[in-house]
Amino acid sequence: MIVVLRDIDYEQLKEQITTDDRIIVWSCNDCTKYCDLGGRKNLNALADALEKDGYNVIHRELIGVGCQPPLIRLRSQHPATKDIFGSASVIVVLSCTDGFLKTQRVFKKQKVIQIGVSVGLGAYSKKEGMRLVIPMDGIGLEPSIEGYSLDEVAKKLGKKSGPLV
Amino acid sequence: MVCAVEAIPYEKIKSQFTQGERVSIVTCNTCTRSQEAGGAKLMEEMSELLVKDVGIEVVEEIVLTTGCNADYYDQANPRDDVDKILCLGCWAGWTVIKRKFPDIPVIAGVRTLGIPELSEMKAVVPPKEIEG
Repeated sequence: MIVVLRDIDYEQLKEQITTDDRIIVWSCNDCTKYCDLGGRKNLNALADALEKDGYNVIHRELIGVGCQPPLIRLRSQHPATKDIFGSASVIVVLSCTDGFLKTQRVFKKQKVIQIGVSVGLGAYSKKEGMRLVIPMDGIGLEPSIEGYSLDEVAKKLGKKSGPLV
Repeated sequence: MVCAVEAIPYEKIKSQFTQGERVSIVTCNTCTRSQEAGGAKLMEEMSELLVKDVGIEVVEEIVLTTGCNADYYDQANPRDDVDKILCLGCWAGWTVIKRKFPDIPVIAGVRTLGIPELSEMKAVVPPKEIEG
């Protein structure tokens, strides 16, 4: 699975949107969920927080695997979702970097906001959660069979881990 | 796709086994299957070839829904009375097996190419025990 951290926090996200925006909160339900950044729980928590703060969240979308172009395109074309995506001005994406870039490519008319950043491959267990075991080249970490906790990696890389809210 | 992989050539895998070894084969049914480097069908073919060509004894074949989920591997109740384990999963999956069985050689049958980001491929660092 991809290990997904983030560069921004909730306050920094709010700086990128306005109360006039028609916002869709979008999340991958695979790797990003296992990194406790996305998934249904975190998708709803973020959407609820934005609504509470006066933002216009028009839709919440959970996508099984957020890096699969056919699944992303389906949202832009399917009769059930086409209109709502067409009417959005902002899509906040809780996915890995690849998922974000592919979502941005499909929804060209909307401002697509990146939250997740990929840093390598991880191994997951319920007991320990996600741990980075195979880092991306160039981030300054060696592979580790035991792995690094996401907090450790975030601290090392100057990033953040876990949910936005 | 979550991570990009390619199958290691059969001759190279074959050269790492010797006659009579008791072997467990573990494969992932997600990334490696969809890229034809793993999955149940390929594992069965690999198993048959290694038995025929090398004379190993395949004592166990395990297909994991996701090879990088340690809980799935634990739930498969893998045997520890083997000489070697052949991993037909990505390097993250390889670490899951190696962590559970640090004293058993785990042969990587798949090479992890990296993490795709649109048309770019971000390379990852191979574990020292694996030839990149």
